[in-house]
Amino acid sequence: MSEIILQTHNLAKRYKKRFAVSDLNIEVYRGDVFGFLGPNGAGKSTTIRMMLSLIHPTNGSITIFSKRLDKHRGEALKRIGGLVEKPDFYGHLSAFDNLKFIGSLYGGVNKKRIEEVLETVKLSDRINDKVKTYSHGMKQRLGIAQALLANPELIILDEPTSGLDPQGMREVRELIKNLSKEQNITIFLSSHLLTEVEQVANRMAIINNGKLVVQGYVQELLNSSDQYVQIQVEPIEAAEQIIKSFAFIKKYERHNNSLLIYTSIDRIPEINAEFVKHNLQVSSIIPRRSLEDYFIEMTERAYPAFQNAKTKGVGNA
Amino acid sequence: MLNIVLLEAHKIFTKWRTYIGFLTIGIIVPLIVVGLKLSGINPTQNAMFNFQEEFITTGNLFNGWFISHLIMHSLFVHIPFLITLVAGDSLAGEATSGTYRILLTRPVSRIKVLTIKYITTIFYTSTLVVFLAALSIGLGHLFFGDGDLIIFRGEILLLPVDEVWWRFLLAYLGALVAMWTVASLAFFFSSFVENAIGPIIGTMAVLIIFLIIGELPIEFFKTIKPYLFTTYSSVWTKAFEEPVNFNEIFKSISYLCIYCGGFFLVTLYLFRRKDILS
Ligand SMILES: Nc1ncnc2c1ncn2[C@@H]1O[C@H](COP(=O)(O)OP(=O)(O)OP(=O)(O)O)[C@@H](O)[C@H]1O
Ligand SMILES: [Mg+2]
Repeated sequence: MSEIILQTHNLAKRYKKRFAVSDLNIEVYRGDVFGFLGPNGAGKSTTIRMMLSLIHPTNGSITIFSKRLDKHRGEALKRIGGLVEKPDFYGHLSAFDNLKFIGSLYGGVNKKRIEEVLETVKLSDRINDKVKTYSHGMKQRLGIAQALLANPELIILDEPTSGLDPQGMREVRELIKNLSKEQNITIFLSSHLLTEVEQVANRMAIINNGKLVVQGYVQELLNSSDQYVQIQVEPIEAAEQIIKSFAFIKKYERHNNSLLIYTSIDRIPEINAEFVKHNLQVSSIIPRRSLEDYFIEMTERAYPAFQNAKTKGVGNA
Repeated sequence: MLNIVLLEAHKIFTKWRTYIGFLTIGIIVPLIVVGLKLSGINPTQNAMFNFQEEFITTGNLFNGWFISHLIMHSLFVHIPFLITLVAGDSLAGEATSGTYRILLTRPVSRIKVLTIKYITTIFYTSTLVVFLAALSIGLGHLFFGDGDLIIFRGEILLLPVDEVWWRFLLAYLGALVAMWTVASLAFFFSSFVENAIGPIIGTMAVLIIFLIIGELPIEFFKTIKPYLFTTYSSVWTKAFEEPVNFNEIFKSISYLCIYCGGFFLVTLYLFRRKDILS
């Protein structure tokens, strides 16, 4: 097993009376792209703030490179690049001057390195423009550039794709994958999108209400979670009879006017063929995973107000 | 460390806010000097008409030194405001712009970051005071020439031209340290909040309250007066007394330095463990 380079031990943070993070235990191995997944308000930024020493844990501790962060702060932060929350910079300075200033906090970086990281995030042509003239997407990329500036072994990014257009999101994800593969940088990134974590990360943790829900290898978690197929079909009673005749289907449920069939995705053609043969009307087939459902449900629970509005809307219609 | 200080200074001196102070002084001082020149009124005329006849004085008494002293006297209460504009923004500004998050997540301790910020704040304060000195003395001399310094304070005092320069040097040194104290207080307030307005108003409020307390003839206020830093801020006026009480000046400047150090250390202590939530 490879070396653990970032670990939290029963980490907790309380704001006034509420715990934003509690009893959090996560482990990041060297070489990981670690997805830290959670809905809004889950405690992702709070955790990252603690990792970057902006706030102090109420309880528990963090070890980075096998040393306690609170005791070896400088040593640890020398080997880390990070950004928490929005990518804010000194707007009245150019990207170059911002990076020069940040570099000085690591003991100075040379002009070539600054140009290099700006090249990596494709900002070379705006190097001398004041950052206040940057778009959000450009600032987000500058955020990654500054994290890379001092050749870190670990970078910690807080929702690096938030606020980006689809193209921008894809570019950032590609960039993260490249950094991991080509430069061997361990990456810890938070996100509220399971699909994003699935695309870039090899390991992940899901956090909700400040608590760890699950942690592990992305593929294992996705595979171990039940796979099922949601089929909308008419008439549904006839479809049920056909389903019962398949020996490989151990479990199914009726859900409104569709069937949830617990089986692997490669069985879909077979089932569909049978439905068609019996002249049933199949209007949609959606392969699903319970982890995804679970996460969506969790996310929805983070917005009760929104849920109510939605329900009401349906009722009125 | 020096590298960071220089870059921090670059950060401050590329901000528009920093130039408000220089601009204000740069407008007011020439305005006063040119105004006096054009109006042709000699404020010392009446009082000095006989005086100048009876004593042997060097040059015109309505000279550059007189103007500089006049300006120092009338502007000294306004300069603190210009200083808090930048000193109050020193830390709060980082919160406002969200840049604490890029500043304090680096392998530089908070103590060091604060020290660097404090040094640059003091540096800014010093440049502003030196600017005021250079501009008022320079323009004063350019328009009104050299000569003995006449001072009206209860009595009339005539300070010979060959003494005046070091008295001004001493006065501005005292004024400088007094302004450092103001800057240190604003810096202290600045560490608590996420916006510069609080520290600016807070510092000015403290100055006004302390000055009033220091003036009121109430027994209790008299007992606390020695503990108010404002009691020592007018140390610069002592440089124009005859004879100069160097002891007293040294004591006042030392007290002011202790206040500066005190404000800085308390800021350091409180900021070290502060949660950065901006
Ligand atoms: N300064 C603060 N004071 C009080 N509570 C706070 C503060 N900052 C965050 N919280 C609370 O802590 C919890 C976690 O917030 P946090 O910002 O860590 O969530 P997050 O996972 O980063 O969410 P998002 O996806 O919206 O960025 C929330 O309930 C939030 O209300
Ligand atoms: Mg967040």
